[in-house]
Amino acid sequence: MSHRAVYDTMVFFQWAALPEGRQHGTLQAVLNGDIHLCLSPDALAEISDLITRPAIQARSPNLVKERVEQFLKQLVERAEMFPAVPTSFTWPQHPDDDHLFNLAIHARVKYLVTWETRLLDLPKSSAAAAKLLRELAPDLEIVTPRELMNLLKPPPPQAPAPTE
Amino acid sequence: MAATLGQTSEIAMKLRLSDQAKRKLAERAAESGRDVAEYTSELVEQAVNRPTLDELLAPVRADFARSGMSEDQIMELGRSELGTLRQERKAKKA
Repeated sequence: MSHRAVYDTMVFFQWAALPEGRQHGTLQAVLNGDIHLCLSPDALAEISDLITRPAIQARSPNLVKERVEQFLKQLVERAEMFPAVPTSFTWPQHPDDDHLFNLAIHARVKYLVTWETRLLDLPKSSAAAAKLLRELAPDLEIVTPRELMNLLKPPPPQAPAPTE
Repeated sequence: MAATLGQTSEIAMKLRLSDQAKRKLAERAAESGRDVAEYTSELVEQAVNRPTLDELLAPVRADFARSGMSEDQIMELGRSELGTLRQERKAKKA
């Protein structure tokens, strides 16, 4: 079964910068179809702008334009793209995150995957934004990549019933 | 990063496609001026010869590994740059 998800920009950065095997389960989950990745032009632009920042490229001479374009192209091919995401949600304290929440709401995803504590803590807060988010996306779960991996793990096989 | 193709050979196989994919394949082959078999061969060539995401990212990951930064430092760099990027965008909008 495939679950719909939105990944935070830092998850994509992590794919690019951290060594093999370090939480790239989120990438594997997209490749093997466990996760149906949802993207928007805003999300894609932020990924592109981040990995082409001079300070990032200074650490990786291999982050050349052609490679970045191929990376983004492959992301688009493997994701469902939502070209026009309506703004139904805003978080006044952190409006920079609005595009992620609005995509999650519009695409009706089950998971918003992030390492950011402020995002992870929002559903538990009593802020007006948390209430609005619960109204707009009551089934949305905000989880870390590690939590997502645990959620995607198949349940352990049931022990056979004891025989009498 | 373009692949150089070597000798070609013919492989006979049956494809199982949805009606929609079959229709689109025929349409796109016609648009490109090639027959369906030729067009499909080209699609398969492109798909198997292009690098996977992991292959594409491997040199970048190796660069960061060689940089001497710890994983926490790399993530902190990413977070900090993302913060600056967002500030710059906000300033542009204002």
